[in-house]
Amino acid sequence: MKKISSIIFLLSFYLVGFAQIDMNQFQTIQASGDIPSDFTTTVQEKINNDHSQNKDLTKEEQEEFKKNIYFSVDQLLHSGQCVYGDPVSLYVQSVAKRLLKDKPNLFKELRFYTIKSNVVNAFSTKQGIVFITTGFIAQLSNESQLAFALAHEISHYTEHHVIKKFVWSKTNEDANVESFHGYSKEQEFDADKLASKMCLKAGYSANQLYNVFDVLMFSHLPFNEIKFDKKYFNTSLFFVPENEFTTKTYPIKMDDDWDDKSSSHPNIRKRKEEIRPLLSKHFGEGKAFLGSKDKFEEVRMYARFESVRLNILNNNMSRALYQIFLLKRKYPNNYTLARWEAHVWLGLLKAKKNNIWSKVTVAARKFEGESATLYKYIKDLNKDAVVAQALRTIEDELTKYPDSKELKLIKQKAMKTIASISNWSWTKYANKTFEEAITEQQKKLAKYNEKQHDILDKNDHVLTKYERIKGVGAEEKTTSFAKIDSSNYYYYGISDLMNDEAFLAQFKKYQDEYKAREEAKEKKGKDDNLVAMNIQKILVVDPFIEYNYKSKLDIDKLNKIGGELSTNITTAISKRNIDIQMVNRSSLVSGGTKSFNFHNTLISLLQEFATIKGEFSIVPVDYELIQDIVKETNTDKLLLSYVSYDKYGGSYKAVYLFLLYPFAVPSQLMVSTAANKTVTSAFVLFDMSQGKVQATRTNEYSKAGSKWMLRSELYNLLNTKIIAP
Amino acid sequence: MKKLGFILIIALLSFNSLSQDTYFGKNLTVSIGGVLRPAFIYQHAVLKEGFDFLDKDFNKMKVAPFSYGFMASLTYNISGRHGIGVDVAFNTDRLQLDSKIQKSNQYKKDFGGSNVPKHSNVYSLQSIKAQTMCIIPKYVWSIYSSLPVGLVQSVGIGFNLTTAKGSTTRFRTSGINYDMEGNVIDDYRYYQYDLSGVKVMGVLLDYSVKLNFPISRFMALYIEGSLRIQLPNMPFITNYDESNTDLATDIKLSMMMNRGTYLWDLRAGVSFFLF
Repeated sequence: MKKISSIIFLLSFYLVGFAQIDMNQFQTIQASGDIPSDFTTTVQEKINNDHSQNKDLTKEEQEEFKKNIYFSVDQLLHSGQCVYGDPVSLYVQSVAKRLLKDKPNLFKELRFYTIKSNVVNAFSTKQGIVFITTGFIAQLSNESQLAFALAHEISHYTEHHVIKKFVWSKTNEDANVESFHGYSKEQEFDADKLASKMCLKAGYSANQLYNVFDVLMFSHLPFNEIKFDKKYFNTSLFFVPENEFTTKTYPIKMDDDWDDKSSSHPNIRKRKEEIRPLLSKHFGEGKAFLGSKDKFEEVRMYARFESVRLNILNNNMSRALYQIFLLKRKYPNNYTLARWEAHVWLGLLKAKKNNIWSKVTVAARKFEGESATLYKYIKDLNKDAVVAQALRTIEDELTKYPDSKELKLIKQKAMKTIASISNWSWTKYANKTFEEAITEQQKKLAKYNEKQHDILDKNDHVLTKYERIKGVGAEEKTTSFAKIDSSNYYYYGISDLMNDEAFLAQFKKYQDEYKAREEAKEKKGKDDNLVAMNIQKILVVDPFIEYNYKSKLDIDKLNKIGGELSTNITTAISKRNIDIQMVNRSSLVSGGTKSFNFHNTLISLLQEFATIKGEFSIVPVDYELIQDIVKETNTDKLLLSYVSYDKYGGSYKAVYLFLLYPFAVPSQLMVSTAANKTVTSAFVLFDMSQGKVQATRTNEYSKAGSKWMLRSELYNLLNTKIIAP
Repeated sequence: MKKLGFILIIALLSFNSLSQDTYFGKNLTVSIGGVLRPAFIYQHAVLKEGFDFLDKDFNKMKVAPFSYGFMASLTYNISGRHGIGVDVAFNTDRLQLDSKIQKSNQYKKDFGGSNVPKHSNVYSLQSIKAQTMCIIPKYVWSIYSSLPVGLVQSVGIGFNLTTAKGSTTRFRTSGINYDMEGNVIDDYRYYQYDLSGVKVMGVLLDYSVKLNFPISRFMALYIEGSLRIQLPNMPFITNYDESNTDLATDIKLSMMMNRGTYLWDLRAGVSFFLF
């Protein structure tokens, strides 16, 4: 028994160590393990620790280089998109290990992080960090291609290309952009060659290495090219006639010889030509996979799922829907895909309502390949169709997963969105399905024909051509069955809801609520229904700061301003007896990976709001993660602050005032000079449980006294009255 | 990150928030401070007015280069961008008119063919000490919603009351005397007049730009620049002796002219944010 239990114990470790993510529970790729020092060390500390010297640069230039490089990498590390220790990063690391099996010291120097982005890219930094995007992983066909990209980036690092490029730009200050790009292209060719050698040595397939350029060339396309199923939307209640989909084909553009004069990278054809002599000697040699193929496919699947999430986050709803279609082929009953599909339709619905249809759909000039069938179908949908299809999808998913809080919330928001469309009514929507309507029509037609026969029988009279033209006997035909038009299929798509009294009553309630809210807004704060927000605790994300006084980057100043700003925010909030939890760099040191993931999720939420312009109430794509944060931190309020320090505001104002009141120049000049440095601040208070913007404050003021203005802005923000629930 | 912040702000700018807009939600502001009026811009213009100079060598009209005073204002903010208020300012001016001036130095022939002055009252005022009180109801607005702090503009229409203080010396002809040929002989006599209580009232237009720098939740320092235009030819209010009507009128005119020289003023002080 003892033996068995120890085996089970060991086995459980094994399972944990190699556990796959349940794709039904997939949220997003998250950081895992101990937080690396790259994320916790400040920029200044990194600069101080870097004792590298370059004899081609002056002391000031070296300082400038280090500042810029460390600062920009730091921005990226904390952009909310970068993760470490996740399955993708770990896999990338394992491939790099195979690649560098002869150079263990070099491998130890390098760190591999994943960037959650749909841009197909990989890059390395002077510090030895290799970043690779999920968009790139999602597009790959095999491990060799990944190995090539990694080897390419590692070559940039070992050849010190970043600093060489900086030295070049300093020593050739008069050079034009094209010659700078020319230099950059030489570096790319070098890196390609070194990468090929490195990969061939490790035993990767030369053919697959060569094919990596195809990945780059078609990176703008979805990760697979499958004919869209025209019956995809059809259910027992919903029917889309096939002729609604275009039969036109949209060829994929294959231009590998674009004008690369203004690009830092050579075009694909040149890169291929440059590398071909080296690789062609080894065609047919090597393996596409040195590691496990399954592992590669698993990691790629994470990246593909992530790609859908990112498309929803960035409001690319058509693209997300095509990707969901692709993934559903493998995972037909996946909860993650189901809720994401509901998100997509909610997004489409909101876009229709807010008139930002072109932002969520794909432009016609970008129609390429099989995905174009769906893109065109979505592009041509009208408001009534979107309403029907959104409700249909959400309702169907909710039937499948009746306990999903997220889907319930999505349904609620969808109904509220429709309720906020002015003068919306359901009169056009039928209470029977398309099929039922057709059957009914056929019955009526049969009855009509019967009647016609009766007439013929009785009167022995056949309608003449002229009687037919005049419409004798056609009255009944037009009223009873000529109405069905297959292009209006969507009016028959939500017959179950149209028969559902509870649904209609709830909708009416939302419509009344919306009207009441609009009235309250007009009264602006003078309504008895408005109540103060009752806030006990607030999560505060590190403020976004822009400092535009000097043209050069001043990290000390930025840190100082950031510190002051945090103090002001903390003081202003705590004066109102509200608890604060900061999510910033110092919380990363104490809170580690958990805190880091919190930060990333919150940044994604903000990003989602930023993309959906004019929408203040959403269901975040990371709904469950956000609910976890709410539970963990015991608050659902989130504060975002953005402060920009600008020196041009004053003079701009002087000109503006001068134009308006030229006779009062002396006083204008005096005041404008005093107000020369301006500060713009913006505060946004989110309600994370409801996915709502609760209050915002945006203002601009003079730098002098800005400390108190910031506090006042926060005071007013927290004093905002909300409509009584 | 920066970009995200910026985009977010743009995205959420149109959010119709029901928050209070004024500084710490306060609506009533009391400001007190000093007023400094440099008076040199329109000095030249004054000389063109309806006075001629008897003594062409002494034709400088001096006006005190600065006038000092204090002011108080009360503002009520209707919203974060709009408010109403009233300014009350007291200024001690020294209207110096050191030149000899006469109402008119033009002569006319009388029935006997002699030269007769059109007006007989030639006089000189040494100086007038005066105190001016302005009361100006104002409409106040701000480009950004942050009243009463930040850059605040206002327009107002109000009145000012200038009261002469102390005494002044004047000399005037005792009457019209003729020489043997029938020409006018100047015969000056000096008189000391007490001008206390001479009052002139006028309507003025005001445009101000004010900048409040908050130094605490309840207090701010401010500087303000203000443009004031005196509306001329308004009826006088006076308690001056009827028998000296001419002189009083002239003094008032002088006072009015002098007030007009103060086109713009500077102010600085402290604002208190009350309720």
